[in-house]
Amino acid sequence: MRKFLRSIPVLFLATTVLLGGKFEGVPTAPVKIDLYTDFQCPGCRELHMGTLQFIKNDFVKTGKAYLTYHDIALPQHPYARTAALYALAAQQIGKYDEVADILFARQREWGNNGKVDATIAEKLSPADMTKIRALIADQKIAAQFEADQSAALKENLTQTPTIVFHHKLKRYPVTDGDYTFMKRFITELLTK
Amino acid sequence: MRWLLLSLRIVLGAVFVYAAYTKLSQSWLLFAMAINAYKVLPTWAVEVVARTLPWFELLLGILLVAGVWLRYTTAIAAALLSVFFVMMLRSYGLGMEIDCGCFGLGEPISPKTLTRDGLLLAGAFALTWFSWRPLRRLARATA
Repeated sequence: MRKFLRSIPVLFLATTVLLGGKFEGVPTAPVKIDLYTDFQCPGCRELHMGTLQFIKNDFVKTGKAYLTYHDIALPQHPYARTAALYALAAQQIGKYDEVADILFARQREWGNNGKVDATIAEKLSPADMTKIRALIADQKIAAQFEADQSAALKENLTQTPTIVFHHKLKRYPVTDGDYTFMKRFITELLTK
Repeated sequence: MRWLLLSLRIVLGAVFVYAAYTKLSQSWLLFAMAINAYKVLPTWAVEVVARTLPWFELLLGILLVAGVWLRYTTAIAAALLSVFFVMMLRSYGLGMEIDCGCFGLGEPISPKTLTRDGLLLAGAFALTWFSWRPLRRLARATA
């Protein structure tokens, strides 16, 4: 029984990592990280391509932190909402990471021409694209997006990227995407 | 006028003490991240500033409230606020969406924070001007 109970976090971890969803890690991890990003924000791109990978490797995959993504759209970014809807739909079929990766990698391109669908279509199979387009037509995806926007409003958040660390009922919002001090801060939280 | 200057000095001192308190009551690493977000200092300098600036602000605030070495403390406060103000203006002008780091967490640089710091800066300059005035008068009288 004990062995089984001990294996639950590992199973959670394996499931969330494998599904590539909007949550990653063990839900019972001591540090919770809420990541608020906008697919059209250059700082979010930097964070996604660099710091986020380090956070995942050092803290999320080791079961020390639980990461939740919130894809929001700032008013100055006209295509961010569309991009977030595609990412949310991709999450439903377990392709969130692939879509987030391509959107951030080619941010400048689709950010100029608005061709979000075409950009993603180059990465995913036609079958996956059909599923994603069908999901976007469903109001559930839009509702999920609005929930993330509301969460951002609740956090009084006006800038991206914002990383909110939660530990022992305290919250620490941070806007610096650099890993140097962030790593030390998370480590410090874990020793508290 | 005397009462106005006294109030201004106490308010400015209290602001520095409060700013120090908000930073010292949390991990220095959070303040380090706020400084780092400005992208103007190397990592080692960010660490030095994050560890020492709150204590310096506390000392400066206490001295301002107590009215000790006013010529120097007001001048230092004006210089420090000038640096903060220029850094904030630069970041806002560059469109950097970062926290101001002035009073703890979660306060983005905005027209509101710029106005507030601008007013504090103006107050610090006024205090510096008036605290050096007796010396200037004396210099003119002896010239």
